[in-house]
Amino acid sequence: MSTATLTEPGTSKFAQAGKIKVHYNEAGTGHPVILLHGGGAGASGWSNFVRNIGPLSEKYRVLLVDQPNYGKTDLVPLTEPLGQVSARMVRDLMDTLGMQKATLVGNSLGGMTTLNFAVDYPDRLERMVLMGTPGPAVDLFTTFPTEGQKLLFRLFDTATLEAFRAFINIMCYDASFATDELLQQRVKAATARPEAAQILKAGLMRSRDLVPALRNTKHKSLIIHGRYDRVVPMEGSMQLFSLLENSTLLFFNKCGHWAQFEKADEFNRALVDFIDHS
Amino acid sequence: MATTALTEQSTSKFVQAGDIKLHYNEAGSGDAVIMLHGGGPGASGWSNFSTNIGPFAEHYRTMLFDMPQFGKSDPVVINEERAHYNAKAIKKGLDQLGIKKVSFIGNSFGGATSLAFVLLYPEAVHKLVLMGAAGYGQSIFGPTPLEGIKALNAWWHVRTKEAMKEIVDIFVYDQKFKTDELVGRRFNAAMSKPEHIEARNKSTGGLMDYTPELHKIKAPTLVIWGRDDRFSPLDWALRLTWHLPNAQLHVFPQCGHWVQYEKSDQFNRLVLDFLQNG
Repeated sequence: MSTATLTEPGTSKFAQAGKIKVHYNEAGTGHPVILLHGGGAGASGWSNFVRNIGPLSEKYRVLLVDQPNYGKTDLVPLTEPLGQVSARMVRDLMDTLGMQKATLVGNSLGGMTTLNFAVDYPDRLERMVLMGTPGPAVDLFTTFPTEGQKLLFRLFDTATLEAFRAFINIMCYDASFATDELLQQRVKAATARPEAAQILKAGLMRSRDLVPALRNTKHKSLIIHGRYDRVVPMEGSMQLFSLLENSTLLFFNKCGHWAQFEKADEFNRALVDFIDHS
Repeated sequence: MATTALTEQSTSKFVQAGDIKLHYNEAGSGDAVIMLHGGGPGASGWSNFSTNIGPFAEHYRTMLFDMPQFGKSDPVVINEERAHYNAKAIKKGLDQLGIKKVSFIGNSFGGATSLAFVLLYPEAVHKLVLMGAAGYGQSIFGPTPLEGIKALNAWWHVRTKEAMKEIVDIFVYDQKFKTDELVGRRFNAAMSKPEHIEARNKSTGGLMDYTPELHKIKAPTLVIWGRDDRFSPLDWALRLTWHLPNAQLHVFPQCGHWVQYEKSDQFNRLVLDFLQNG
């Protein structure tokens, strides 16, 4: 079933996860694979993984989950780091849907959620895939905030077409696919709930120290990064590679911060191979 | 002699270097120490090293050269490798002044020029100090060019005060250095010589990767980097330290691409000690 036959409205669902009403897009049957989007203003499960849901749902039960304060999921105040809150939400969603275990696939912020999930709910995690995920320790060779992070934060205050174009030019190795129409959709999504931007601005970067716990994390992991990522430095993935003993590291060349989109074919094949053989 | 006793005007000199005239600021006597500025718009010997010339002039014949296309040196269209060209021009100037042996303190592009010089004239160099030096190909840990170089390259065509403000924002680490005064000073200096800008935009000479040549350099070298440098990535500092047969490395935290200014006192003490005892 190609992406052409799957649509956002056609796959759109809601379910209760504890106190949070979660929106997600679902397709396919079989082993549950939960894909978690990145943290930019206006991001959502569907928009992040539009090139992946089709091929992956041919083999697995694929869920594109909108994280708290994103997409059509509830607004949730962040008294704890977002990755922790989101991980708990995913666990609660899995309870509601009767999933004992799932493969989690996390992009950037979604990767942080996945790491939190691995640490807090290890028996609910089958395996994990991490893309463009920030390292849990200090980056040794790149400065903070990165060029891309500065633009990303600016988007929470200034969600204009120009601001999104500047961001997508930094985010992707080749941003020629980004039409004004596509960017306008992002602007619309980013400005739909102004309160979301305020909550996220305040809560996005706070996180606890996961390094000691990750040293003891044994789940099979596939760690993916783009060589030209100017938002999250690729050494973050090298950090994770050094901490997660059962991990494989995959770097894509000519690829920025959206590996599952920019290298969709290679990504989908790598995922299927990883899930089927680990 | 404190820096307050030295002024740009009181130290200003010219020397004929072959076909072109080079400007430099000079103070002190004894062994010659040449300070070479970086390649950004508005750069010059005095603007780059005004907080260093005083302490060095107490021990050395301290010379701050304006590179061709900068400061009060001639505007020249350069169509060969630029560090090479600069090195040859400086050698002609030194020959004219009867100076046989020097030490170099090179910032950014000035570092590349210092390397080109010592490769061309090894017998004429005592020691090298390289800060945030340019010229070693790719960074292993992230995509190049870094955001500072991108901003700098763009400025030559945009030429606004706003764009200069962006450069300064990326250039130094601490907020206290990002003054309107500095932005204004650099902008005015850059705009005061339209013939320099014209010459630069006509020039076709680039900067080569000096890595394969580094092993030939026997001169004792001190490599200095700002940990938070957004122009020259930190792993270049390690590459220099590995490839140069006789190098040591010092990294300053909370410091960007203008080490000798952002960490003035520590820099002066460190480098004077290296020149005298290292």
